[in-house]
Amino acid sequence: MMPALLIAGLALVEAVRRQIYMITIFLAVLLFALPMLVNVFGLGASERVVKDVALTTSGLYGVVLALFLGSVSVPTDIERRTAFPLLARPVTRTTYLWGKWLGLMTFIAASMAFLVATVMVSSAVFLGNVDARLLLGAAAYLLEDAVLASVCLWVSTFASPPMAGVFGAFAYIVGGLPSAFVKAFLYADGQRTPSALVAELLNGCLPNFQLFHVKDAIVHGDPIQAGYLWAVLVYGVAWVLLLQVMASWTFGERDL
Amino acid sequence: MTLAIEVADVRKTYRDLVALQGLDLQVGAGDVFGFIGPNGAGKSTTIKILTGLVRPTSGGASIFGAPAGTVEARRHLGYLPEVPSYHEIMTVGELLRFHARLAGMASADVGPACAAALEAVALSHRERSRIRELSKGMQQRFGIAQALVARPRLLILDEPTSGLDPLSQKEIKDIIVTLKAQGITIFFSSHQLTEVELICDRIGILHRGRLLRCCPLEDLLTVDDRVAVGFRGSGNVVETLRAEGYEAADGTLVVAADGVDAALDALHSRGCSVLSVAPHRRTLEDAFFELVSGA
Repeated sequence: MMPALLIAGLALVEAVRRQIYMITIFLAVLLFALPMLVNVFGLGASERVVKDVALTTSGLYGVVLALFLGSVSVPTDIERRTAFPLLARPVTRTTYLWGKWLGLMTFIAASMAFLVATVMVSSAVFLGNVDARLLLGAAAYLLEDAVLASVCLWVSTFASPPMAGVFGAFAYIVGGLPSAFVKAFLYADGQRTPSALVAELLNGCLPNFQLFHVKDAIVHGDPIQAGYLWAVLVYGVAWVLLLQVMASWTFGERDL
Repeated sequence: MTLAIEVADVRKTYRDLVALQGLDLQVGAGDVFGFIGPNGAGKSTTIKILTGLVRPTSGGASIFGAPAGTVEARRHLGYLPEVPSYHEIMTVGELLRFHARLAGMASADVGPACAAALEAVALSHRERSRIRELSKGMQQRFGIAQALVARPRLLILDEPTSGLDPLSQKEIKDIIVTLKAQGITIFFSSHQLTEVELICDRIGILHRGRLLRCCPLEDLLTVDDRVAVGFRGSGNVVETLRAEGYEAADGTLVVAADGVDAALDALHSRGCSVLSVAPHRRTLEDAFFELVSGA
């Protein structure tokens, strides 16, 4: 575990020094001003609007970070040859991949925590009200990002970063397609078309990212069953483990 | 003899390209082994197999008895890649401590080990500099420091002086000579034949994936049991000596071992100064070209 943490630390320090966090700060400034703006324009349901925009922004930012960092992390290390002296150390490639994953997930987690904390402070100041369930929504998005980053990391062990990014985006969109969408747009007269069949097959093979979206329940104050959250956690962890095993296998077979 | 490296019938192919064809190689503990060959001969592939970055298609290699590529084998290794690149945004000290800890050093040993490694490559004064602020020669010296930091039994250096200016090349060469004196096993590939000739005890010449020769350096350079007499003379001494049946070239006379005294007399009688008397040897460059062109 120790070598994985060391590699994670290196990946994290590198991400911080490359100032990717400046985007996080920029978004945080916008989100801080959000409750104030919503109040000024006198929109009804200010709190709901703030929660919706805040969670959507944090969620999308997390997805972008997961797609980007998950796709470039390993190939960049190989292209620049920075991985060579590192992998010549008594470290397995599996450990290296876990280290990379942990490093990028720590960065994404810190970024999302910062954004959500900003919104909570801002809501407390300008709306006089804070919903602690925003943290739950962010945690669910973080789990989604963990799975998405694992998808990209796996593909990046045998394909180029753009390919890994495109596949990650494809998996995110297709894996998250609601069945209602497929039925509404890809069925003809209630009958399954070939394109609907393909979409449903792919949807079944890929992680279902819709399961991580608890935003609507949080925005509208609906209850969320603890059992559902536990099931989603197990589902997310299982996908991460499966993808990391696949990544270890493909990366282990690869000549550098 | 304890073997630091053992390569047995290793073959490596990249699709249609055969990089190594049944390579057999042994390097003893404490040896300084020079691995030379033209570009594309398979030197880097061999080194990558030893470090576990590439897997052989068939055959096997081991480092101090542990199969190459395993964590156990890599515990004995310090590796400087060809054209090394490091996380340039990190400082020299940070990255060196990272490598020391990754190699499994105890926390208490990390500080002294890093200080010693930086001292060995004369980079102590740049500990707080970021890697990108170092010159190319300094980055190469840092590379050797990171390879050395965990006090490995075997140091693998892939073209350590490649692309460096003469001054930096000399600095690297001096570092390797110092390490050799400390008894570390060193396996290094290079295109600088003079440097290899000065540093190595044993040598391997690789060409098109085959090992043409693997032997002590002396065996390769010693042509026969004759003696070369270096001299300085004026006029047409060389022509005169040749006319008398001597094998003479500019400033050198090659004679049989039992004919040295007669040769010295011949030189003195013609007013020549004798500069050296040494076994007749060829340079590594001559031996290399002869072997490679005949292959």
